[in-house]
Amino acid sequence: MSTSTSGPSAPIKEVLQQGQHGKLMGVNATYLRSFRYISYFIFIGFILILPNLVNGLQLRLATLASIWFVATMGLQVLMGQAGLVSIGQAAFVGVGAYTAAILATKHGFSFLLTIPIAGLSGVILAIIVGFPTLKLRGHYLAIASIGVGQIILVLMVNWRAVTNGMDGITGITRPVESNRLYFYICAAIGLAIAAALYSLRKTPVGLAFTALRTDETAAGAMGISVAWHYLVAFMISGFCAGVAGGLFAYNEGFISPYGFDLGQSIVLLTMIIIGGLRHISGALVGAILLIFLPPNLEFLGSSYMVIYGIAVLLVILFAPDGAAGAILKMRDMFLRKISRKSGESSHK
Amino acid sequence: MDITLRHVQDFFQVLTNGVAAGAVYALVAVSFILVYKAVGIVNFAAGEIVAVGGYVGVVLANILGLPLLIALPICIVLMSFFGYGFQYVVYVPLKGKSFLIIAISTLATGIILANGIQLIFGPSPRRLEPLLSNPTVDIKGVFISVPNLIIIFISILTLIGIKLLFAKTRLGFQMMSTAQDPEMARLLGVNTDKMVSITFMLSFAIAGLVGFLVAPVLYLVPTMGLGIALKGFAAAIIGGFGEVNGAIVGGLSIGILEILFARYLSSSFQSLLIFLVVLGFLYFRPEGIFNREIGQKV
Repeated sequence: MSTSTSGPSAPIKEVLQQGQHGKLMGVNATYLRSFRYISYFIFIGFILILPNLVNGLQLRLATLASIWFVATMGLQVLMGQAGLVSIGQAAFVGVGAYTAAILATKHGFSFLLTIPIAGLSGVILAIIVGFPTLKLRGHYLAIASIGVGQIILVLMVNWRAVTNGMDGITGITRPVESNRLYFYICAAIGLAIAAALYSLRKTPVGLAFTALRTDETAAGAMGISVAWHYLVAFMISGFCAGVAGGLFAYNEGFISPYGFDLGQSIVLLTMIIIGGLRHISGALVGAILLIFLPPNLEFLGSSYMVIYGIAVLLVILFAPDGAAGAILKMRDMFLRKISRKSGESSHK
Repeated sequence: MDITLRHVQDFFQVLTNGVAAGAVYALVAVSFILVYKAVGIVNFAAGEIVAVGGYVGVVLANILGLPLLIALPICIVLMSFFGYGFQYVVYVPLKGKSFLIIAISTLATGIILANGIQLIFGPSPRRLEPLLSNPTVDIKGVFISVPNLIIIFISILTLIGIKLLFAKTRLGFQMMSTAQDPEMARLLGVNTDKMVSITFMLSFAIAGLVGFLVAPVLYLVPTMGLGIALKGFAAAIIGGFGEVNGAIVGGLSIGILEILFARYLSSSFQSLLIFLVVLGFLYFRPEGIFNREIGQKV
C-alpha cells in the first residue's frame, strides 16, 4: 500500500482500519472479542468493589473522575472523532450545573429530571454557538467557544437574580445520602453514555465523523452533510458536558462561577489529549490521570498548569494517541503474541 | 439632561482611551493575522506572547535598569528571535497536520507561557514606569494620558510601516506571494521557508511592541494574555479574518465601543457586549465588515 496519506483514499482507509482493526494488526478476532469482554467484566467488577478498597477522599476523587469522564467523552466525540476544537467546554459544564442547581433548589425538580434537562441545556447552548460557526472554517468554532466561555462566566458572576453571583448556589441535595451510592450512580451514567457512544461509532453518523475528520472536502463530495454532522458532534459534546455539570452540582452541593472558567476548559482539553484523542477509553484514562495527579503537583503552587501545557505539547508532538493509545498498543502486542502461539500449537 | 462642556470633555477623554485600546487590539489582530495568512495557523498563544513582550520589557527596564528608549528596540529584537524559535514548535514539526493538532499545540504553548511567567515573576502585578513624568496633557480641558497618546502614535507608525512593507518593498511582495501560493512562489525563486520565518519574527515583534506599550498603562499580570487575545480575535473576526485593513477597523471599533459601553451603560457587562457583537457578526456577516469572500465550507 502506498505511504501517502493524502487524497480521497485516506478516509476510506481510516474507516476500514476502524472496522477491521483486529485483522489488520494480525490479531485473532475471537481473541480480541473475548479479551474485550473479559476486560469489561473485570472493569465493572472493579468499580463495584472500589468503594471497599479506598478511603473517603479517594472515593470522592473517583466520583469526580467519573463525572469529568462524562464531559471528556463529549470532547472525544467532538475532537477525536469529528476533528473540531472547543476551548470553552467548561462553560457547557457550568450551564448544566447551574440548570440542575436552579431546578433542584428553586423548583424542586427531582434528580431523574434535572440531569436530562442539564444535558439538554448543553445541547441548546451547542446549537446557539455551533449554528453560525460550524458553517465556517474550523478556527471560528475554537475562537467562538473561548468567547462563549467568557460570556457564560460574565453571566454567572453578574446576573445575580438567577445565579446569585460569586456567592453561588447552595443547598443542592443529592438523591442518595451515601457517597458510595452516588459514586455508583455517576459511574453507571458514565458507562451508559460510553456504551452509547461506542455503538454510535459504527453507525452512519459515527462513520461520517471519521470521514469528515480525515478529509472534509472528499466527505462533502460523497454526500455527507458537513455542517449538520459537525453540529451533531457539537451537540453530543454539549449534552455530555451538561450531564457532567448536573452530576457535579449534586456532588458538590454548592456551585459558584469558580470552577467553570477557561482554566477548567483547559483541564478538560488536557484530559482528552493526554488520555488519547482517538479512543473513548482515552477520556477515562485522561479523567483519572488529571483527577489523581494534581495533589502531586503542589510544589509548583498555582502555576501547576505549566505541566499540563508541557504534557499536552509532548503528547501532540510525539504520541498523538495518548495514554489510551499506548495501552491499546500493548494489548495488541499481547494478543498478537498469544495468537501466534496458539497458531503454532494448532499446526503441530 | 443638559449637555454641558464638562460632558463633552469627558466624552472626548473616554474616546481617546478607547482609540488607544483599539489601536492595541488592532496591532494584536495584525500580529496573528500575518502568521495566519502566511501559514494558515491561528495562533491561540497570541495573547500570552504579548504578555511575554511586556515581561521582557520589565526585565530590561526595571530589573536591568535600561532606559525605555533602549529597552524597547532590544525587547522587539528579542521577541522576533522568540518568533523564529516558535515556528519550530508549532509549525515546522507539525507541517501537514490537521487544524486540531496545530491549534492545540499553540494553545498548549500559551498555557506554558502564562504559567511559566507566573512561576518566574509570581502572580502579583508588574508595570513599567511611563516614558514621560507628567501623566496627562490638557487639551482644552480634555485630559489625555501621555502613555495612551504614545500608544496611538506608535501604533499608527507601525501600521503605516506594515502597509508600506506589503505595498512597496520586494520583501513584502515575496512574503505576500508565499502566503498566497507557496508552490508558485517557490517556483519563481522565492525562499518560502525564509519568508515564513520572517513572518513569524515580524508577528512576534509586533506582539512584543504591544506588550511593551501597554505595560505602563495596564498592570502586567501573567493571565493578561487571554483578555488581549480575545479582543484581538474579535477584531479579526469583525474585520473578516485575514485582512489587515479589516483588523484595524475591527480593533478600533471594539476599543471604542467597549469603553463607551463601560462608561455610559454598564462596566460589569462590558465583555458581554464584545462577544455578542462577535457572535452577531458570525451569524449575519461572517465575511466581516468589508464583505470579502472567505472560504466557506463545501
